[in-house]
Amino acid sequence: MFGGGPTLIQVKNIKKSFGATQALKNLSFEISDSEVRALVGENGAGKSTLVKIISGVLKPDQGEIFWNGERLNNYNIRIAMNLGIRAVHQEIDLIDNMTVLENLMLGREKVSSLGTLDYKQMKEDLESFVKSEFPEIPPLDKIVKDLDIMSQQMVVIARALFSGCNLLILDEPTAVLSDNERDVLFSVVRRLKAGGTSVLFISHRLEEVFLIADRVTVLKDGEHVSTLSTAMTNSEELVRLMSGREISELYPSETKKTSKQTTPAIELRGYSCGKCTDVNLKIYPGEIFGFGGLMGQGQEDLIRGLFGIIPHSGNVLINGEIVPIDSVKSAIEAGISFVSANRERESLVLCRSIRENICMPILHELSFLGIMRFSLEKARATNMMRLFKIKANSPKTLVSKLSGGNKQKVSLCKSLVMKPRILMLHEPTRGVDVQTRFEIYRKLREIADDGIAVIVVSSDTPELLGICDKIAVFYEGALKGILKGKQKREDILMALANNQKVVMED
Amino acid sequence: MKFNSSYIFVKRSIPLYFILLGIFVVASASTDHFFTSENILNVLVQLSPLLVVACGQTFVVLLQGIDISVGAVASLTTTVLALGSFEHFFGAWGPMFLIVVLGVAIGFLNGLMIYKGVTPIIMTLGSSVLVKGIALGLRPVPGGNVSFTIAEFFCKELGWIFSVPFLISITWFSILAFLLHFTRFGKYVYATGADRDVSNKAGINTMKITILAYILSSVSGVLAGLLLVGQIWSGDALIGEKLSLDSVTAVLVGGTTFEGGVGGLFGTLAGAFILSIMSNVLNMMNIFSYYQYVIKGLILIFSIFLSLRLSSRKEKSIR
Repeated sequence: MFGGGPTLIQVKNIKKSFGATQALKNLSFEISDSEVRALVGENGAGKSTLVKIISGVLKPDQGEIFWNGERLNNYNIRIAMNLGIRAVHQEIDLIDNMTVLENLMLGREKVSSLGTLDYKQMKEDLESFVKSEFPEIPPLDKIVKDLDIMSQQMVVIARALFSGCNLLILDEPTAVLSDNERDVLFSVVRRLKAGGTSVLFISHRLEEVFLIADRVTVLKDGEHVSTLSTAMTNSEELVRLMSGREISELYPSETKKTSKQTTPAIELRGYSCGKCTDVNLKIYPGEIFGFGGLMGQGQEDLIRGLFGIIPHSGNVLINGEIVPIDSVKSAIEAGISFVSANRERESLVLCRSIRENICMPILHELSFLGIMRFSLEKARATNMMRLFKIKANSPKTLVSKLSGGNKQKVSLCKSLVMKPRILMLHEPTRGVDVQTRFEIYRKLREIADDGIAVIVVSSDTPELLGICDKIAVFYEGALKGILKGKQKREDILMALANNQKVVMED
Repeated sequence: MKFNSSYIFVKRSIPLYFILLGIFVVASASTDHFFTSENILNVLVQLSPLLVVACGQTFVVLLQGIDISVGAVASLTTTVLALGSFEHFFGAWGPMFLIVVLGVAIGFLNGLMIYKGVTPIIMTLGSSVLVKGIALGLRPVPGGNVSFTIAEFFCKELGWIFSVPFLISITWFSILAFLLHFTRFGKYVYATGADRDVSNKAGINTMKITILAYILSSVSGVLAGLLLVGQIWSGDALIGEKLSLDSVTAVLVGGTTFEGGVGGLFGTLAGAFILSIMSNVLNMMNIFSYYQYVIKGLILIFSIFLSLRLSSRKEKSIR
């Protein structure tokens, strides 16, 4: 068990809100000297917010930060840099077309007396560092673009270390690495720890937590649930701590109608698209079908492929017939409609009115010989606004003036005016207040009861459990299982999402 | 071991020099006049303003930008130099000082606004119109007298194929190539052009880099204007106009792309040579000059298309 040396950094009673959502609620947390600490939690538990606060990118609304017991005032990114706090994110922050040496020295080049770059001096400086502290680094004269992802990751870490690092934050560094590459990374982490550097390690993969961390902190809903020594716990306990909450009355009851239909509204056979590979499943009319798992495991690619945004392979059957979907147009013609997670960029025209936004996809129905019939447009929009209780003065109100929840409703209306047979939603309640969530969930159930197949991709696990009839869970692009009925439990879902074996009884 | 990544862009421009050689051989073989020292001298004089502007333009395109105002700046330079009265007070080199200050100011304004988020083509189109207005105000119709000393200096022939304008342009090229490939500033231009976020995080003052690059481009426009004065010995508010797009064409033909941080001055040198020699050959083949515009336009569109294709392929490979 890790004894816990003197505290290196401590955050106390941190609160942080984004609009109506409280990302961190009175969170306290500390890391000791030469400790490897893992941070786990569901999507939206507040991990990335906490990391951003520790690295000075975000300012907390309330709370204090201590470094070696000393209180830090006006903490910001510059102070964090000076203290030697370095964050390495999942994306590779390097200049592709430059050499390893140039990237390592970017922003702190050595210049000769003539004003030219002194490559010889820079090489000498780096070589001693490489030999003594970081032999894993690729040859200094390689162009970064030509390196594999692991070597690039090493360059990023080396750059963080070369400038004097006391706390290294690794934010999902293994997401893009193979197992062997991960072992190399972990040996680097162990050496850092032996050298006195503390490491904060964020990962979605629980087995890695036990490989590398001394202690593990579980966050849930912006609160510190527990900090455990990895020697004293196991992944089952962590999963239970990360999930295990009551599903509140926020969600509508399951459908009362039992569908007798035998033809699926949509069926996938050997469907591969982007990250998701070889998916076979059937979705029936009247169902709300969820896609869950950790973010970026292939479920987003799956629906984007179904809507013809990115190319796919395999067969898509709609009402039992193979339909080739090679463009957004063909997807819409097949009766598929899509509500994007990024409503402000991919769905709404913010500088136009609610009326124009809602009716945008069906202008051909609202015009005669190419001339708009505004009375029809107004009637249709007013009707939709009333059905969805969009709070605005009139249909002429600009969409940019609306709240997140009302924007999402407009986005939903826009998809529904096309009268789709299949409605796909990506993160349907992101940035939406609780009251509107409630309304949207009800509406989705009504839509499904009208015989439309509703597909929901969400990283909000309780939401999926609350509204879906069936939930497909993805890990690394593969469909790990479909939960229905009594199997719809958060612990089962989280276990599948973390690629653990689950015995499922019906 | 090569630690300076600039060599990849130098290496990449080598095929262009073979193309240049090919054009040279074909031109020499197909016309009697091309391969004479008078004609080569003439080609190099014609080339020099374009080369100077294209060198400045390279910095800007490396930053994912474009500078449409350089042509207008060059024109303004000729009209300022043809202001007789100004000389009266400050001597022959007085107007030169004034125009360099103006050039720096225009470049500063372009760079600052573009850093703040104005689209480069819109910003520089705007400043182009502004500068053109001043130039036309100073000299609505071509004419006026430029100081004899200055005009004579900027057109002096030095024997065989050499001339002052050509040497000036090659010197300017060498200075900027040194800046771009061997100094910290050059490295930061590449870094900022490739990824502004990463550069900011590395502590690079990307605003300063952007402003300096646009100043360099604007000052290149001033220098090109001086070389034009050597050709026309008077002021003309529209003389430099074609330099704007010609320089962009030369940069793109030279392999610098709009994706940012990719390309270099050795490609631009080849690009400027290719365009000038082609234009000379077309003249000698008696192709009506308006049709030459058609050919230039096609080359520009084709090289933009190619540049965009190359950049988008890169994005796909990342996914």
